[in-house]
Amino acid sequence: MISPDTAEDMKKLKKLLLQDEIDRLNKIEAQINDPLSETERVSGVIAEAVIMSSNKNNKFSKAIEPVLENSLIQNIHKQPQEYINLLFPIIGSTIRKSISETLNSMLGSFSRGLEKSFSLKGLKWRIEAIRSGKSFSEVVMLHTLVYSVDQVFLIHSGTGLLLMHVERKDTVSKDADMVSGMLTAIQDFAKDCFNKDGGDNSLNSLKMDTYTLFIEQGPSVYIACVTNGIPPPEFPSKLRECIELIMAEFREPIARFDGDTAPFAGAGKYLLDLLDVKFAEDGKNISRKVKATPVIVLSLLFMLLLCKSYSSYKMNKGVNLIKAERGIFLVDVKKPWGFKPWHILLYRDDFALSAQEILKNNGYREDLLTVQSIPFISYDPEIVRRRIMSKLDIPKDAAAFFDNGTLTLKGSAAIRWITDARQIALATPGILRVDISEIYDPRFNELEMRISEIEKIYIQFPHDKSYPVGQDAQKLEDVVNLLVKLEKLAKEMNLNVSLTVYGHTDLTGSIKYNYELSQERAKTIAYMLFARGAHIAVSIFGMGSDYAENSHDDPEKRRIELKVTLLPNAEKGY
Amino acid sequence: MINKKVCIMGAFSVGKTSLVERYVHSIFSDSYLSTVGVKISKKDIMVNNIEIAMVLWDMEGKDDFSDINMTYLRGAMGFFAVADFTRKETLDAALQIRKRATELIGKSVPNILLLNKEDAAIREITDAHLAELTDSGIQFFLTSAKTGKNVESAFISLADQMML
Repeated sequence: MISPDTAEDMKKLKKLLLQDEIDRLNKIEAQINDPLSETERVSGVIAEAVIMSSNKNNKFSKAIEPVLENSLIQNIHKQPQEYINLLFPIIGSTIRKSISETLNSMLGSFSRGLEKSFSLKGLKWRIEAIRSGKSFSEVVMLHTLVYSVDQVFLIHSGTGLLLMHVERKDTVSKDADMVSGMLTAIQDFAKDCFNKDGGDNSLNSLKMDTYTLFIEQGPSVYIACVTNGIPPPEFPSKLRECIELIMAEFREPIARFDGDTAPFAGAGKYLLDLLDVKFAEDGKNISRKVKATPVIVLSLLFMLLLCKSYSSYKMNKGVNLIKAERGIFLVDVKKPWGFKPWHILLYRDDFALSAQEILKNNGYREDLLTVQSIPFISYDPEIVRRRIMSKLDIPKDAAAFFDNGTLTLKGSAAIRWITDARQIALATPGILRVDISEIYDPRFNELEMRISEIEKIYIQFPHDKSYPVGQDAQKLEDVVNLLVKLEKLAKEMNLNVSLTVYGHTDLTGSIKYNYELSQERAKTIAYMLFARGAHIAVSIFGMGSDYAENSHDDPEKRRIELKVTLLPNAEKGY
Repeated sequence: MINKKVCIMGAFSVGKTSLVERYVHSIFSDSYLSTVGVKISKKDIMVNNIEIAMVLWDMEGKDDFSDINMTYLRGAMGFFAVADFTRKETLDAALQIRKRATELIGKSVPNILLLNKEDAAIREITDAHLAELTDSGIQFFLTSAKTGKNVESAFISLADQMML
């Protein structure tokens, strides 16, 4: 058991040994119970705690999110005007910028659309729009978003000194250092002149012709891009991205920049990336093409016009050649639009050249013109000549001439040919007369000679006798010989020989008797000739004393006459 | 490659442009001076085997020096203040410009005073003035755009100081 003294002593001892700890404990207890000192303590660590928590996970953000949200909403409800005033400068400039960019690109595509509407390419795009079902403006957008970024400058804003410069291979550029300085000066100038309210707005593009200089401002550097054509809408954001990347990587060297550009060599890759988007169509600059289009179209039109005029000239020449041709009568020439051949309607004689032959003979293509031809008979002397010449198979020693409606045959030819030619000629349209006075058959002379020899033979008869005697009977032998020769010759000429024997008497005796006697005499001679080998057609005629006149008992009247007739052989040719 | 921005300032018709035209490389026409108020040219210089491109901002000469465009001075790593030997008031102007410029871009920025038209017969700037300048610790060169005297040295000297 512990006595009260002991308890007291213990207490003293405890106090003696642990007084410091007791004091500290009391103090801590007091601190915990005092909200003010607790707040002070937490405030010292709360920031670090939040950072630590955020780094570990996003529990804290999640926890605090609804609280912040609620308080923000309540605040806006309570004092909307405050917020409007606060946000106005930011939102205003953001919206302005966005609207102006959109408008710019829209206007750009409108003007491109208009430019294209009247060009060949425009036509092609319209067809593409119809085919693909897209709107025309969409197709225009698709095709005209072509541009090139020719040069990119990375410039230190403070000094205007060039940090890095890249350019396209075939770009002709001026001294980049000086350009950077001047660009910076111009920006300063613009800022001084137009930005009196001291805001942070700065020059962001310069335009000349098809070139646009884009300027993207960073905190201490800016990028200037020389572009040709209309860059796509995302180009400015690409620039911003580029400057952010550069700032992230080169923050230190930029801050320490004293003129040494060596540390920025690495920035080239980012700038080259911008150059990378330069080609959207075969590496060619559409904007130049757009400018060149009217020139090309005009040249094409001019060439087309030239071709058209030349082809019209050729066709006209062809038509005139055809028109001038004998035996052709041109009725109509149709000239269709474009490059189609002209169509001609004509009347043509069979003996005229065809339109195709005329073109070919004059060195033109046969299909230069399309031709519809209607047959007709031409009385053109040349055509009549061709017509008759085609019908006459003219022998080698003969010739035919046509002039003024008369066909003249000259030279020598078989008689049958001559007579046939005459008949054919007279039946040929355009021939009015045939002159055969200058053509002869050379065999005809011999034939005539033989015939005259035969016809000269004079056979007399004794008084009242129907047969010849003595010398006269012997003459029959001569007649037969001559007839045989004649027949042979006639055969060669394809002629048939026929003989007519006429019997005569003197005036002695009655007329009737004399007729009978004369007939008898002719018949006798015919028999005698046949008997002696003259196998030709013979006709006999008794003429009585019709030719005796007043001569009685005249031996000269007691005679026969011989007449040779030649007839064409109808079955055989000449 | 080291690039340095250098401004050239001075009163009207002290011969700044002549200095620039004859001894540096330029691609821009003088009309920039009267329009934008500045013309950029370049001078390549070798200092201790280091190639330095001095990008020169030739600023429009003005008689009213208080109005000189200080925006263009921003970021300058060195500058020339140019005065005309034949007119004393141009020296005052150059000194005033020098003062304003150092106020704006810092006293440590290397700068050189060029007393141009050194070849002129009539001089308003006397030896006493030059002694005063020396006493004030102002570095100056007597130059002539006409003969080329000291022009190269002045450029080299400024480049030298900028490289320290």
